[in-house]
Amino acid sequence: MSGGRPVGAGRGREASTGQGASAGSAGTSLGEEVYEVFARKKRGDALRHVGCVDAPGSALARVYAWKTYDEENWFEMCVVPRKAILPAGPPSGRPASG
Amino acid sequence: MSGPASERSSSGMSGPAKPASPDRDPDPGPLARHILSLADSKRLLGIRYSDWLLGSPSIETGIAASSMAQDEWGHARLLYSMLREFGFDPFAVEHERPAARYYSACALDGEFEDWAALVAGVVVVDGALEVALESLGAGRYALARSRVPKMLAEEAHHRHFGAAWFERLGGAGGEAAERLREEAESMLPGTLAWLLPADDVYEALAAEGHVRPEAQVRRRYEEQVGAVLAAVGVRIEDVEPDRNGWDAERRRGPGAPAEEAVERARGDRNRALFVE
Repeated sequence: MSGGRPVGAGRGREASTGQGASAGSAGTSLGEEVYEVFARKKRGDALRHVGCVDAPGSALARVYAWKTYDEENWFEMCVVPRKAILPAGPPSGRPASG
Repeated sequence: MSGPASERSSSGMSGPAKPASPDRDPDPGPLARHILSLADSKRLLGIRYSDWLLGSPSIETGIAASSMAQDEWGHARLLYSMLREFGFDPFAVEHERPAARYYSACALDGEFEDWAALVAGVVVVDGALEVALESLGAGRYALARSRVPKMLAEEAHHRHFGAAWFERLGGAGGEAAERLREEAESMLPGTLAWLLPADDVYEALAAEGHVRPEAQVRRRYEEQVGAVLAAVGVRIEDVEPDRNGWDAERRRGPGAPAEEAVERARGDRNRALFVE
């Protein structure tokens, strides 16, 4: 609807310049939480990780995610509190990368 | 003039000698007046959101404000373009009117002073615009029926944003909640008058099936924003529209948007680059 809007990919956390939470933390200095953002382009596609947002709750996390990662005409987008993601491996408890 | 004959005749505004803009036409017709009122309010609301692209409480909130500003300008552009069907030149309407000829809601005349004012504006003013748009989209004007649903889908995000921030500030209590209450109470009477003008124009629109009757619109507005406002003790059902100094021609209260905002809305600095 908003013709000429800049694509959102460069506006997300991964491309941001430092405002907000530090990577790897589930909380922020503003008492917000980090939410991971997942989306799929069309029905049947796998959900893929597209970035993350800081928000004080799920309602704003949903709005922030949709407004931040709007470079695609997503079929579906959802957010997950980072703290709700449980590590499953490797057995050492330390990710191999990332 | 590409619309169906029934729409053109319902406006009663066709003819070769029309002014470029409905604000210069002594009788532009109810529907053109109504569309201009919606479009100007959205254009100014976009300006007010854009004032907070930087300096908002977090980068995500600034991005959301940016996106909402773009949404409002996109909606305004679509609404202005509808005026072509009534014989007006959308370019002249968008880029050539002085502030004193704007039909926008009074609550948008000045900047949102602080973040509480912006949040109140999202709930009160953007909420009223959403309800007005919904009413127009449910009417019999074909272009609105086709274009409004997409706008309303975007407006839903604005409503969620406003409600969540209102709950956050209101729940914090203290000065934040007090500022929120002050701003909401300040904006509501004039915004209710804009939404429910109780004038001949609205009566004609409702009679022709272009908008819902005012009682329905008020009820819908109360449904949409009443519970949110109640969080800071504002009872919307007790608020009366303030029609003091009502400008019947522009269908708004007295005054005009700040000249600086209108210069931005018209794109004065980029005038040499216009290619439309």
